[in-house]
Amino acid sequence: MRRAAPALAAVALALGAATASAQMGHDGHGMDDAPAAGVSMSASAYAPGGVDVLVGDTVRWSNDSVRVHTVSAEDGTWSSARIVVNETYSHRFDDAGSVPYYCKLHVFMRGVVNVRRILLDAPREPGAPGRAYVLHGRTALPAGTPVTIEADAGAGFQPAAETTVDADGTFATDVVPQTTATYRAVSGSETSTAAQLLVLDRRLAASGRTRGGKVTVSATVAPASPGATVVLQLRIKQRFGWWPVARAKVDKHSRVSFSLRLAHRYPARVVLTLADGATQLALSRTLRVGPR
Amino acid sequence: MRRLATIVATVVGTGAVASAAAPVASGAVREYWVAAVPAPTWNIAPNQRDAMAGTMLSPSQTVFPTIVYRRYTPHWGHPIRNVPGGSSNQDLIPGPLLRARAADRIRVHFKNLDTLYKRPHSMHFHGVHYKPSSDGAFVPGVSGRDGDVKPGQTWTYKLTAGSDSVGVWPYHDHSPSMDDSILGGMYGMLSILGPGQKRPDREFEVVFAPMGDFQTIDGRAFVGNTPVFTAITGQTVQWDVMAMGSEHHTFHVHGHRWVDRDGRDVDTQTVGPAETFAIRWREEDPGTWLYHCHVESHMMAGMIGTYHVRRR
Repeated sequence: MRRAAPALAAVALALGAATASAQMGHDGHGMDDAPAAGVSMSASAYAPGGVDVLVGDTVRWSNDSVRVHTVSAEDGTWSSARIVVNETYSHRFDDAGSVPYYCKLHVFMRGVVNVRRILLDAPREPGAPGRAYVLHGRTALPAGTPVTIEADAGAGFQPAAETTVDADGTFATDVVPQTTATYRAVSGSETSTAAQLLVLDRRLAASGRTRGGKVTVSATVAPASPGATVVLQLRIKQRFGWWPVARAKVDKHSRVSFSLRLAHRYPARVVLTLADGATQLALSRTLRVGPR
Repeated sequence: MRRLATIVATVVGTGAVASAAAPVASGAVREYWVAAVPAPTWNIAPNQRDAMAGTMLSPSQTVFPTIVYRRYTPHWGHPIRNVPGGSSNQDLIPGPLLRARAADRIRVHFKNLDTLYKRPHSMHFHGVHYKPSSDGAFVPGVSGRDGDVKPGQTWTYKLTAGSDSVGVWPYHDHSPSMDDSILGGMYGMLSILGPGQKRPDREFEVVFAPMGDFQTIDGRAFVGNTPVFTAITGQTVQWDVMAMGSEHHTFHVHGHRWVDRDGRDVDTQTVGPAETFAIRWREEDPGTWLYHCHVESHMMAGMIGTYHVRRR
């Protein structure tokens, strides 16, 4: 499937995975750069203890404790100096494989960096049964390389979608889940970590009220999904279909209310979407709103 | 299609007209507040379809994060629409329509609020007079802060509209982030009237530019998504046309003609990267009309929209 914007390389960034540093050396102590992953050091632990990054990515450790720590490879090939409170240390990983590390000052503190050639971003929101859901990933493989998205809903991994690597090293494609399943990206002998996509059969109840030109459309999402994104759409002839006119997040009671002024009467509906405001997860019934 | 009666169709102030004019003093001072802000889920095709071809488009094809210019009320009060009502169909791409009149001094207060990529940005203006400190272009080791406004910083560009500035002109990011920014929609237009020249009743902005896999008008692709322009018979309409990117485009409006800068009646006019033209006519043809780039591959990739004229 085609991707929106090869030059707009930041889809992954917007989804929470920062782009990698290209220049960070083995001791980037205190330097300010864009890491692909961040690890916090508390008094006695690295958090998270394990991170997945791509070949060429940089990881940044931040000392958020009052203790002094180090970040030191178990095989002795690299190590930070002493990292005091509020300081950071960055290291770039150029070879695939698992890299265990520890703190020389508190040897019980252990962590691991899993350096891969392909990564699949973990879905951040639930999908809906039978509705397309876009999965994103990054890879160190060349542009144009085929990538297969495999799904395991309990009977082992099976191919679910195909795509190719874009010029910026990202890939994206839709899958159409029927139930909660685990997904992974595969290309040749390279396999990403698996990520679960939770599938919920959510429903939207909507009602509309028109007084003069003022229209109020209210909706409730069930089961409760506080913070979920909902979009009010009108079917407008000049827009050749359903057109988003307002976007909001449902409140803690899973409710939302839209107010707008309309000069004409339109079919209207409320759509539960991913945070992109476009990928549909559930639809309300179609209302008719606006002055007669 | 009916011939547009005689007329008022003409190219206005194309900027291509040579003039030795210097800035004229004593005009008004026009101030604008413009910020670079994230548009985390810009959708090239909100109706998720190419209606002409009858094909559906997935959000994975059409939605992406980008940085855009956004207009604010004075002293960064609150964000407002970039363009006058009816001039485009969304308020983020293109950037604010900066209106002025010959002899005006223009102050554009720019703030970089790029919290998405944390890149430097700038504004570089065509067609107006300014000192190098308001050029807004990054030249390593040479330029100042005007061409490299860091996140969180501001810069005021001091411009003057000369008598040779009448017409429409581009502005765009010319910082170290220029390439990514322009591909993401960081561009807009200045619209400068001559002395005594009246504003049109309707002013439409048409910016041809590639975006991702699509060819867009004002950051949108395919009918219904691109601007739906409207007018009423008897109104004077002005089309501000511009191209960004690396390709030429041919602007065509169905059922209408105008007089180009060579004095010819035309219904299709070419515009290249960073070129602009403005055309006007008094509208007399009610109906629904297409406007589009007539480079066929561009039109098929999204550079097409509709124009609705209602009878008075």
